[in-house]
Amino acid sequence: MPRRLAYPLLAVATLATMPVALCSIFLRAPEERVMGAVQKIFYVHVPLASITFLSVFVLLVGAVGYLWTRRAAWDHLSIAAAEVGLLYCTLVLITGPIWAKPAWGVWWTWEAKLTTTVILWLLLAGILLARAYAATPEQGARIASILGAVAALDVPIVYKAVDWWRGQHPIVFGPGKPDPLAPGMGSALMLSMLAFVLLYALLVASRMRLADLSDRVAACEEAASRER
Amino acid sequence: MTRPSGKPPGFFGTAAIVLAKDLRIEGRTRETIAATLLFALVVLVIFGLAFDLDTMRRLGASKLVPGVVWITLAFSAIVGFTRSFRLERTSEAWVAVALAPVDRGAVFAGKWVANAVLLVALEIVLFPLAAVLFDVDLVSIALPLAGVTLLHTVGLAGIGTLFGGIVSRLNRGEALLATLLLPTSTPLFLSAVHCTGSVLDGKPLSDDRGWLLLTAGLDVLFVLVSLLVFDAILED
Amino acid sequence: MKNYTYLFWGYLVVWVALAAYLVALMRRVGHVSRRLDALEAGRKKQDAGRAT
Repeated sequence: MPRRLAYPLLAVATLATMPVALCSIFLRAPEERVMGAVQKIFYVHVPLASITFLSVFVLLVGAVGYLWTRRAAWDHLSIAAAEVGLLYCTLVLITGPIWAKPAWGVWWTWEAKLTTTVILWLLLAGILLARAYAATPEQGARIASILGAVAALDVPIVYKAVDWWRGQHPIVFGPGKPDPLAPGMGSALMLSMLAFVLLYALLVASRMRLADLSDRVAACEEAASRER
Repeated sequence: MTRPSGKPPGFFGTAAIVLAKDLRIEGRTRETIAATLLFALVVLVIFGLAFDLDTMRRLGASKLVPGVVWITLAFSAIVGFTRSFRLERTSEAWVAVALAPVDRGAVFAGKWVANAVLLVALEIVLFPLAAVLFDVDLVSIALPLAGVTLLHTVGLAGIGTLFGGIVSRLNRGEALLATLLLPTSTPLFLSAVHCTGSVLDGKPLSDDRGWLLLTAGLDVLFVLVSLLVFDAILED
Repeated sequence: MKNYTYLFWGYLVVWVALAAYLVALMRRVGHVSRRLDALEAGRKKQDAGRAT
């Protein structure tokens, strides 16, 4: 597929899928027995959460790619994955409590998945902050890649550790698996997942484009100032 | 520190030189250990005030002390790590280090051990003090406690040296050290608190095999990553 | 009906945040694009000037 077509195609696909997913969520999927309408937040929360962790993997790929090849494109991928990942992570942490309060009666519980998500949020924010503090863009890229790789490797370990830690005390109101999905729910979830994945790809591509353009502007300006 | 041969030192040689240098500087000035120790004391006292007596009695030492001690260690360690890399910042000593024809991973290794020694020195004072302040008997469990503490200290020093190195290259990077270090070392601290609690309860170490293995694995992972990556950190 | 309030806020926050990010990105891309065009036009003029 010629590169120039890919981006607009992605945008159109995202714009098309979103309303379909929304229709499916609100019109087709049955309302859940116990929790009622609030359960519908699950259709955005679950995709957001899955894609956040996908983003961590993408960050790892970008970070290792940059450290290995030192080509800017990998770093653009890293920065996009970190930023969009942070955005999705923030939304996970907002939609989670919104769902939890009516469902469990509390806004928050220090359970393994939630705690790991908070820690991931802190790590991503730290990486972006470190970039901002760097003396030169090249140093920023290098350091952010190292931090990104370390964070990505650390996340599974954090999850396991917190899981063991919390395992000491039986959790009374557990966030275990949701009730077996009624037929309409499964397809709504799939559509929603697709919509959010496409949106993620769109956002990452856009952010990468911005990074690339910014680099080129910086290079032009540097060349211009050198000539003077 | 002159070498008769004129060949650059190998990996362990470099590490030893860096280690000796850091420890000698510390031995002469003692500023890092003093600042770190004082800070640790302050934090410990704050914890003593944070809980009312009734709560402390009800929680019991083995639930209270591990968390208190390791949080104190976490923050004090950050004070220590920040200073460790500041040693090179003055008079651009980094340039000399970077130009030296040595394996930069060895520089990391030397600094790692130096930081570990610093932390152990801190703990030797901190644990007895906590025992007194929070009324815990440490003598009977001294050996397993020492083992658990050493394992986790080695890991903490490794992670701290890695991030300390990264952060020292950034403008005003020191502000970032805690933010980066603490979330990343969560598994280490969870393990430390859990195992210390077990030891205080008198349980045998084999009960916590899983945690200890996790920590040992984490230690190894971070040391390997640091050795690989320290080159890239020192590039500029 | 309390349930609908939570649902409403949940979806609202998500959409607003995502839309805001996308809009902000697009605006910055536009900005930087224009700057890049201006710089490149400037260089072409310089090169043309030097060639004569």
